[in-house]
Amino acid sequence: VTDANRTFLSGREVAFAVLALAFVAVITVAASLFVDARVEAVLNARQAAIVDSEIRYLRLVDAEEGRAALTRIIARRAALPNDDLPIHALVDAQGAYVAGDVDWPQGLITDGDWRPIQTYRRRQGAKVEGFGRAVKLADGAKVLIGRDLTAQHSVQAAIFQALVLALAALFAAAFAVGLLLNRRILRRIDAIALTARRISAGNLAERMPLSGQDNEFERLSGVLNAMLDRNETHIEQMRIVTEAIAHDLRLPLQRVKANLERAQSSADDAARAQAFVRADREMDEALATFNALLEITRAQSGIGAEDFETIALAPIVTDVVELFGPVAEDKKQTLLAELQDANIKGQATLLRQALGNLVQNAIKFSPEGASIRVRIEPRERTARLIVEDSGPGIPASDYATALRPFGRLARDQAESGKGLGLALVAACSKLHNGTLGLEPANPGLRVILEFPRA
Amino acid sequence: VTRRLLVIEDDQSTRDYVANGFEELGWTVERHGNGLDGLDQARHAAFDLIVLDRNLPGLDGLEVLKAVRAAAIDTPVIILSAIAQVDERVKGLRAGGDDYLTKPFHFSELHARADAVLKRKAPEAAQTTLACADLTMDLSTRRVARAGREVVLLPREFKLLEYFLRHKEQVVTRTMLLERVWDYSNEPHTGIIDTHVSRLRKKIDEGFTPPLLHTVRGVGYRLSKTP
Repeated sequence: VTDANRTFLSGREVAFAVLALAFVAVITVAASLFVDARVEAVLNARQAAIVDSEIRYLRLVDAEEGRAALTRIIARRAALPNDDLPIHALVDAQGAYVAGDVDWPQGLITDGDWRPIQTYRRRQGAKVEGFGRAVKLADGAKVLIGRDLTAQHSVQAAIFQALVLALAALFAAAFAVGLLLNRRILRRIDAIALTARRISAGNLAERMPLSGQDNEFERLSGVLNAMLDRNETHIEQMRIVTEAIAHDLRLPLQRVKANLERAQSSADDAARAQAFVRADREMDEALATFNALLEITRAQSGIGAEDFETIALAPIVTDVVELFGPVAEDKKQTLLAELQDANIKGQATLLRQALGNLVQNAIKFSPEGASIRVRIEPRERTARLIVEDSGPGIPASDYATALRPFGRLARDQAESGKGLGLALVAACSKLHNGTLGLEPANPGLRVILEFPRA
Repeated sequence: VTRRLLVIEDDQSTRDYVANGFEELGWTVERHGNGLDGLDQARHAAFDLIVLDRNLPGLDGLEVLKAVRAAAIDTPVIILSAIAQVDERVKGLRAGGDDYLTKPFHFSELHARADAVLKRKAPEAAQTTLACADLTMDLSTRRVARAGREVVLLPREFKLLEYFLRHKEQVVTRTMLLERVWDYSNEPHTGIIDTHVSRLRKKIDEGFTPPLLHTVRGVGYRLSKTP
């Protein structure tokens, strides 16, 4: 079974979803019960207060207007159904019915406290449950005013039923939505997995499908695509470099071979010795090219970044200027270093080599008497390493070619070189999270390496 | 006295190249193709020099070196390696190597380094003056003179001459100078060394006889009274 066929959640995922739903259900029920209890408490308090004032009123009527008036009022109240006070009863001192809509409850204590009541409606004989207050009047007659809870109980039952139905609907809806989301997610994952498999199979130009919506998958696909772009560029670069190595090593190796053959067939000892020396020199050249390419490849692939340390640029500039000083002097050029210091994170060896290449180029391509300046320019967040010459410079249209491995310009024709010098500088600046820029120095060329400061 | 060399190198043609070279110089050479046998040999016999390949079957070159040093054998060791990276070089030297040479190499380079390593291992009295013929260097006053006349040197030229004087009568290669005088390794600017040496030569040899700083064709230089 491949994961492309997997359209439903695994047992573990289902268990998690059910657990989550059950949790939601428990919370919902608990919250409902809590609300219900609070509402009932408030209602009860209000009812008790109403009943209280009613009883005070009835006592007043009994005392000031007489029993007949009291009887009339209770009879009238009982005749008009009242939601707030549906329980009324008046019995005489012997307990005989005088007025009201319910029978006097058995054994009800007439102390005026809020007590549970169980009795029967006089008219329909239906059972009545509720709360009420009973008091004894001056002559021993008793009055009961109360609230019927039967209706409230049925309302509660209805609410509870509705709650259960709502929860069931919620569960069903959640399940449906979950299933839908699950299918959508799996579809996107499958699409990504399928693309990844095609890329693994060698189709490097493939990219993760994009839906155009703004969501996590889109972002993930975007990141993956950026990575794939970079990888493809790297592989393309590797291909170019490999071909270039093959090409550029073939030439010196051909010369080695030619010289060795000449040495073999030569009868003259001196000529033979010379051919051997030449072969050896050609071999060294091939080796130098090979080493330079290896360095570039290493720097490009980010090897060495793990042992970066904080280094000062000034000593590197001093070293390089000191190393190349005599070479420039031999060409009657002035090689100057302007030393302001700045620290960056990096690898001193590689930086020294890169700067060496820049200075070497400047010396090589500038005429006698030219001046070459190496500067460190500390900026707010970055540090610039600038090599500037007063030579002929190169046209802006050639900048891209100059930076490419094996890129050779018209000016290189007269000089030896493999076109790897600037490519190493470019790789080195990339490894150090820096940039490499070329600009005209009027006259001459200004090469700017810019690194983040440490 | 015949000097004894132990070559531990799995590639037979390189092993023979090294061994034959030293045999031509009159050395006695033991050859081994794997780390374990090589280590065994190093433990049981005394040698003047060990040339050790970095990548060996059986026991890795660095492991052999560590085991040799752990057995308190302080025979000079030159490591041969196809890995040119600086960190690998540092690892090799830290494991107890005296020098590190990257393949491919010329025998003359290995020979020059062997001489330098053997010289370094020889007990050296704390010297305050170095000399070759009538060229003298006072290390405490940093004064250099040729035939009694003071020669003014830049700091790096002084260091360069000091290295030549400490290795007089020996062949010194360009990469050795780059490594020891400039602290550079694995850098492609060896050609520049010629410029520096020719400047030094101008200062110490021009107008004096005999010339002391000689070019050894295809190899490097030698500071010597005799050409």
